[in-house]
Amino acid sequence: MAQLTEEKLAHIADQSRLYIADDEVASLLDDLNDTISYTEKITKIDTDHVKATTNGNQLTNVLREDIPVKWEERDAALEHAPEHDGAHFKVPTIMD
Amino acid sequence: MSLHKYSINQLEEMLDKKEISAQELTDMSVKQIKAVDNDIQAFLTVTEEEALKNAKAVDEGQATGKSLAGIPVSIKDNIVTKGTRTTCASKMLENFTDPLYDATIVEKLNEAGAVSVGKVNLDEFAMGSTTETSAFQKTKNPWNTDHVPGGSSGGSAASVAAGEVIFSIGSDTGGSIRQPAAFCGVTGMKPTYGLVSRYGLVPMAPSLDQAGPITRTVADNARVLQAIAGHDVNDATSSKQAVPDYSASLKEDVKGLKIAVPKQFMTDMISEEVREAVNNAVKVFESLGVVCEEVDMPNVAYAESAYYIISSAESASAMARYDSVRYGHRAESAESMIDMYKQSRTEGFGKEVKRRIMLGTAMLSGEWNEAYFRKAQKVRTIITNEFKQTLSEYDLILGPTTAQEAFKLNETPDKQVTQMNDRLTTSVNLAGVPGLSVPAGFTKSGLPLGIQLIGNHFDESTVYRAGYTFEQATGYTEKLPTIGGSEQ
Amino acid sequence: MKFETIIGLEVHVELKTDSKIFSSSPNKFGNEPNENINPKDLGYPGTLPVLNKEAVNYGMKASMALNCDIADETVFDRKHYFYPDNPAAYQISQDEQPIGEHGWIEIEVDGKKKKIGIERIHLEEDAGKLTHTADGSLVDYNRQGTPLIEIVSDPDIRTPDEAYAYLEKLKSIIQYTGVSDVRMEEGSLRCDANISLRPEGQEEFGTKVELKNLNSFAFVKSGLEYEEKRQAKILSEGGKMEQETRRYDEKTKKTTLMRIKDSADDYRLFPDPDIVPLEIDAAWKEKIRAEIPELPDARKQRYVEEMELSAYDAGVITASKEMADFFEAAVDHGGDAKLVANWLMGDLSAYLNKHHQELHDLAITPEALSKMVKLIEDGTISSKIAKKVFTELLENGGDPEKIVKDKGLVQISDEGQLKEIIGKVLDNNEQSIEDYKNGKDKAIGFLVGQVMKETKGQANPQKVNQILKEEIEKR
Ligand SMILES: [Mg+2]
Ligand SMILES: [Zn+2]
Repeated sequence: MAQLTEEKLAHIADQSRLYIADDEVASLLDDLNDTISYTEKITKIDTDHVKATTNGNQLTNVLREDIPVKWEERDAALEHAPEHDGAHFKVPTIMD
Repeated sequence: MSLHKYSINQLEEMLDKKEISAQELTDMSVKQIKAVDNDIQAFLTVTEEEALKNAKAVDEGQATGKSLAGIPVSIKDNIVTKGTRTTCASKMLENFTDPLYDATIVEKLNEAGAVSVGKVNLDEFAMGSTTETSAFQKTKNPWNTDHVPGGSSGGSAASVAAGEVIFSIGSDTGGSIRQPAAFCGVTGMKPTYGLVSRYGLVPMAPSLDQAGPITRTVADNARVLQAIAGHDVNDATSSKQAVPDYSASLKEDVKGLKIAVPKQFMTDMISEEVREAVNNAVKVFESLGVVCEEVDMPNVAYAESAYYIISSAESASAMARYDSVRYGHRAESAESMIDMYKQSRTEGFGKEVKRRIMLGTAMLSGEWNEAYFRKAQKVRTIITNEFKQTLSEYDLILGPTTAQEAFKLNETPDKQVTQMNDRLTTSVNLAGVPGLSVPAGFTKSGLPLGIQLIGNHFDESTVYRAGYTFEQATGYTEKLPTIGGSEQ
Repeated sequence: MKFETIIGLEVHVELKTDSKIFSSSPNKFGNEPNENINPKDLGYPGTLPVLNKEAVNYGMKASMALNCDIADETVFDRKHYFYPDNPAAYQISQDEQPIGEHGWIEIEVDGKKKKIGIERIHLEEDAGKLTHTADGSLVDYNRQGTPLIEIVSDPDIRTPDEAYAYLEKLKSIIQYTGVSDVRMEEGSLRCDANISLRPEGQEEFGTKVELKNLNSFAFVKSGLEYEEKRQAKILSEGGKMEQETRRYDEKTKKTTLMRIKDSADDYRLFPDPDIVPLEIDAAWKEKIRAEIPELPDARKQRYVEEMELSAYDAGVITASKEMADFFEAAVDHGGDAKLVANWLMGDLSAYLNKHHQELHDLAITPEALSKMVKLIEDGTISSKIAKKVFTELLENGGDPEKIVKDKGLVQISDEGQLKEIIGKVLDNNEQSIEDYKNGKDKAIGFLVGQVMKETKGQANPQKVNQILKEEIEKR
């Protein structure tokens, strides 16, 4: 039965860009593993030759004509940002 | 006069005859909010000034002939409203004062002349079933303020039940319209996936999300859906099917209809009172010439499992954009970019949202992507096919909307009850079919209960017809909660 | 130990649609920061992607021109990673089923032809642009959502020269289809290179290194050359390669380590539920196929067979569609193919290189070039004078006949007129006549020069030679 380990949870949190406080780890792990165990039963269902449902309905080929539209609210959008510098959005320096 | 007592049909007539003005209606709505919302806590933002301005425009004839002219509405705060703060009940978007665009639903409501009086509470980013995960406040059930209104559209359902508005727009990813409607004794429709545009509905799980109306009556519900349904070029998953006239077929006879009652919806996790309500509904329908039969839908038993996997995975993806770069909460003490991301998200999101993001990330990671997520998508196909099969033999599926009455506030519901509740509603989202919760009686303690009517894809008409007939035959909708329900 | 080099290239090409791939913002290069954005490009909650049909058409067209099979059905996937230039924190791309697969192009290096396989071509959206400053990084989302095709070659390339030839050919073919400007300077073509070495004879691939920051074809070649040597040295000394990403430094012409590749890189891909599957039927494919113009190789062959250009000349002319189109138009106007080609490959190309310009920046028209060539052919102007006319055409345009007339550049072929001038020159240069008669053939060159000087270079050189000799005999 697949379960999250402490190590895997740390990796998942990192991938999710979240911190987990040390004292939350145990209960979170329990909680998530509970749900994971509960869902485990679907892995037993025979799904050979069954197509995955990826969308909420069965539409295909919904396309837009190539017509550009200019948006006039850039300045307001910049004001929404936690930080901006002139016409740029700004974030702390990125270290590769 | 109190807003509760009137249907949209009646108000339209009164407005037409100038017995009441749109401004008076708005005023009543705002007054009621001021009177009861301290207790109910449905509203996150009240837009009184804007509402009165819009009502004035209606009175000045600018909305004559429009289907919802002058009707006060509340909007779940995960539907974006240009010029009005949209928070998703999250600290992350506490200061998102202007999304800079309107959701298509909001545009359609405006076109129909509806008057929005504000934005209502929800579980944070619609993740929850009690409205308690809201970062700002806990909404109370108008029938008994010790109980939750349900969720995630708890603010919507409570605002309608408390007579603060005539109707509300909620959203439903796994039951978030129907379950609070049942808990609050009102009528809630989760339409066919693709019927109502999702443009501007903040996604929780995009393959499952649908917005829909919460109203007191079925007839009101049909009118509102009529106004918000239809194709939208801004949503690639929006259906191009013609929208039928829902109100026209409401009163047609239900005689000869066939209704299926799945065993998997009536397990021993269903409370006695709910079971009685469903059995009673079966009797009502049978007395009207409807054929009701118990059916077996074995794969429905997997619905909640498939839902936990699919919805958490899609949520993890949908929540990734909240990175504090262009909008949203940014932690103050970030030292690097990654630290900024992590701190901001850790501070900005509540516990349940973070739990689901991590569950979803796990479901999409490495080998689990195939083993769980893709597997669940295949199980979804099997569940959908089961619904299609049943609905090819029956006109409707009937079951409880919830396993029991509204939970008490601050009480973590039993896991098995939650799983049963989730099965009843999430299966409908997985299959993409429409589901309507209509009031179906009360518990001994006086809390409302609901039954769910599920129809074929795009067959909202039959769902409404059965719901309307049931409502007319039983009169459960007539009863009002004490809070705010008395004449003023 | 001898090593074999294995190179694979990943090329991103921006498609020049009018609007972005999933939003209706203008798709333009060079505007003010964040001018071409809307809520969708900013990843605002509730916004949705709607696929641009033209982006699909362009992707299909490029794929077909690169000999790919086109998918019958494809979906768009979400590829998740957090970065400030990636507003939704996922890039919409095609993971499972690319629009094109199993393509190839033919390259020629040192006279040897070789097919390089193309594994896949997929459609995706571009990210925004980051500028790093001392106290923070600045983000511009104009580029966010620009349609891209990513062209992934098979690991068929064996030398940096082949890599260079592959890129040139790829650029040329895409340019012909008209779906992109393919300008590396503007970032509308970008290249990452994977390179590994393996002992000759070994079948298994070695550990590959990815090279980034390759901002010109020459840098790709130079980066690969450096990396080839670096890896050979490590392996020869018994070292092991690490799977890493390295950055090419234009100044030092060396590569430096950016990061060791994390095997935990996990993009958590899944089909985007907001975008519905795309079905491409035969009729749609045929419609696009019919729009593909004659491609460089076919043109080259035609120029060799029908216009009698050398394979080399035809190759040079057809490498650039603009050049080839110009060439054909000039020939259509009656210019001699060989002469037109020479002018294009010679003076015109030199001028473009010197001034860092492109053909469309110049004032000259194909018609003007063909006229000028005709003036040379019928002796109206000399080739030498033609250079003056040509420079005038490049800089200011106009009609060659008029330029020749206005500037008095017509060649003097009239015998009477020439005899008179030559008579004067001979009168003033008795010594040269003497020298010539004494067998100093060089003297005739001096005399021709004097005649040219008198006529400002307009005298018909053949005629001058002939008359000079006759007149000297008479003395
Ligand atoms: Mg790549
Ligand atoms: Zn790419």
